Amino acid sequence: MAMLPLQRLHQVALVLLLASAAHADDAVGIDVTGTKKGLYPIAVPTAPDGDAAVDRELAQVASFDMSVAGVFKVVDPQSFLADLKTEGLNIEPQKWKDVGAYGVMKYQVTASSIEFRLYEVSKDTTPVLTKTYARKDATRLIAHKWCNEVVKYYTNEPGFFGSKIAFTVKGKGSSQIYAMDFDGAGAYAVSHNESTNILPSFSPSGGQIAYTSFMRDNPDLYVGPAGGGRPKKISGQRGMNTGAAWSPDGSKLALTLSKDGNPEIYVINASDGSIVTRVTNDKSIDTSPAWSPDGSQIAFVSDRNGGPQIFVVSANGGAARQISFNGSYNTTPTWSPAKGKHIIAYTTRDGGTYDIVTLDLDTKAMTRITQNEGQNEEPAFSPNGRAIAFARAGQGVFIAPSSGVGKAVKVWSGSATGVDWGPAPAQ
Amino acid sequence: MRDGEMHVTALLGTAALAAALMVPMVVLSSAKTVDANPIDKMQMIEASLAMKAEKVKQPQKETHAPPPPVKDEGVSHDADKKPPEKKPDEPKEKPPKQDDKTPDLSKFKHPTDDDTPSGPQKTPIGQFDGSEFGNAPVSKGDPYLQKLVADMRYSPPEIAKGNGVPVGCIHLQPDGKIVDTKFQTKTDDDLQTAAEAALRDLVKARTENPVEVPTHLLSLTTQWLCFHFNVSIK
Repeated sequence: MAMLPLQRLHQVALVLLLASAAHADDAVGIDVTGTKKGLYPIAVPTAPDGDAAVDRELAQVASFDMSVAGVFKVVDPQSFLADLKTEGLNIEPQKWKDVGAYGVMKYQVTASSIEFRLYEVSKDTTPVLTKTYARKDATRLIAHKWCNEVVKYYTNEPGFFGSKIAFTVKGKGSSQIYAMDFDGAGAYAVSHNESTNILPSFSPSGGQIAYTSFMRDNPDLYVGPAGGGRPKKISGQRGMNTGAAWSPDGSKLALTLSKDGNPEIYVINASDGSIVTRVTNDKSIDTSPAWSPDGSQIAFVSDRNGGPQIFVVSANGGAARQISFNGSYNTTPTWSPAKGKHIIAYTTRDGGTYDIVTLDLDTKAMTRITQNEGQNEEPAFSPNGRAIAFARAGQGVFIAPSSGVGKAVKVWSGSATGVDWGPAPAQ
Repeated sequence: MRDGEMHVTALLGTAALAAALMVPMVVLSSAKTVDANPIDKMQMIEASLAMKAEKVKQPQKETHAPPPPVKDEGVSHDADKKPPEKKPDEPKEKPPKQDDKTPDLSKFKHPTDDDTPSGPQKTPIGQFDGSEFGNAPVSKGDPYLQKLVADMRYSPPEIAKGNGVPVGCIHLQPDGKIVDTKFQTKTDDDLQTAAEAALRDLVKARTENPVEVPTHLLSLTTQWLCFHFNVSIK
């Protein structure tokens, strides 16, 4: 039968019933069943009054935040029908329904504070969330805080607005560790030496960054303040001390050491670098460790079965199991922090291009995050798992929804590698 | 001349003849060594003449069986053979008789088969509501109604809030246009918004491209057609 649009729309059931006691008299009832999916349309109008520059900045920052949150789509301001001046902090619900908005974010700026309101158009003119912030922080930080509240209202998860991203910037003759706000604002150098500094990793608290530096010729592991400052050498074993990843409790670091000649995964104490466990013991090359959110497992890359593939092993060591089987080249795994899910993102080579994919370890479902958009590598999940940051060769740092729906957004331009996403900001 | 003079003359003559023969040879042979082999200086062009070769057939397998030897009909090749004795005519087989009686298939019936209605039918066949598709009050999955649902494109966002089941109704005209809508049950949540958007999409689609209501569903044009908007649980 040619009724396939029904399936396309995921409307799975259609049962016709006669009008009954449960239904209206003189009416025929049809059950329509839809599946919850897709993005939530939300409107972020610019307040018409007050300080125009502040109003504009608030709307811009909030629109960007909501657009990269992974669950919203921002309604095009060009389509607005509402008279914003008349509405003020309130809304005329029908005007917003008519443009397809489900939610409306409003705000009003005064000399001392900013008041925010969130409306669901189905709930008429009563706001479902209100918040007022004193204007002691930068406007954009206040906007981030408000957007985190909105995300929490809808998803019960903390938002990642205001979090930081660390990455390596390739320069002439040296590479430096940089950090910036997740949206690309306020980038600054974390390392300050004329050597090669690579593979940054935020501590769970966000206060420190571990990275490998050649400043003493050997690739040693250093830990320094995330805001920059003098780093401390944590691991200076002979050979490689690279690819450090913090354990979820921040007490340990997993990294690659080649002190015995062959690169293997080790767990060391974050405080003094003493070896806790040798996790792998194989004649192949084992690198790029990544902790599972509960700290019980470590994903890593090994070429023990031929080309580089992703493996998972207990954090205490033991037998490793291969989890990536697509293609012959899969590297740089990172574990999603999303609660109740077991998802790993990694770089895969598809033909001649490098792309980011995610793999659900429970369902084995793979989701492609990038496609036909340059060479993409080294993914890092946002603190709530809703977005993925990655480096695109020669172009910069990008953010994309981890659902695979929606396009990646560039947040930093330049030659970047080794991306890591810091923890959610304290509210 | 004396013998001695004759010998001397012969010797000189031989010497002169030998010299006359040898000098050009020596001169010519020395000239050869000065000039390199002229063939070396030549540009070599390989040439060959293409000639159509005669087709050589690979050995072929026999694909046909040799024809059977033809025997002359009616001629016995055995002088002692007697002709077979003639058998009496056998009765021809009669075609099987068609059984006019309906076979008793009740023995094949499964006890759980329920193809006969038990008791009086509550909904007579041929009623207003599309019963030509079956006995149900309105046929499940009627194509016209399926298309109505498809045109609504009901799909709440992933994070839509709400647990209610909004019920939205339309008033269909026989020409397929929707002249009125109403919400019988409002849930005041995101699912309500999704349902309203779905009805809006349906009205738009059927205003721009009305699809005539089929005869068997015309009764739907005299009453509200209501949609119960559910959300499937994954």
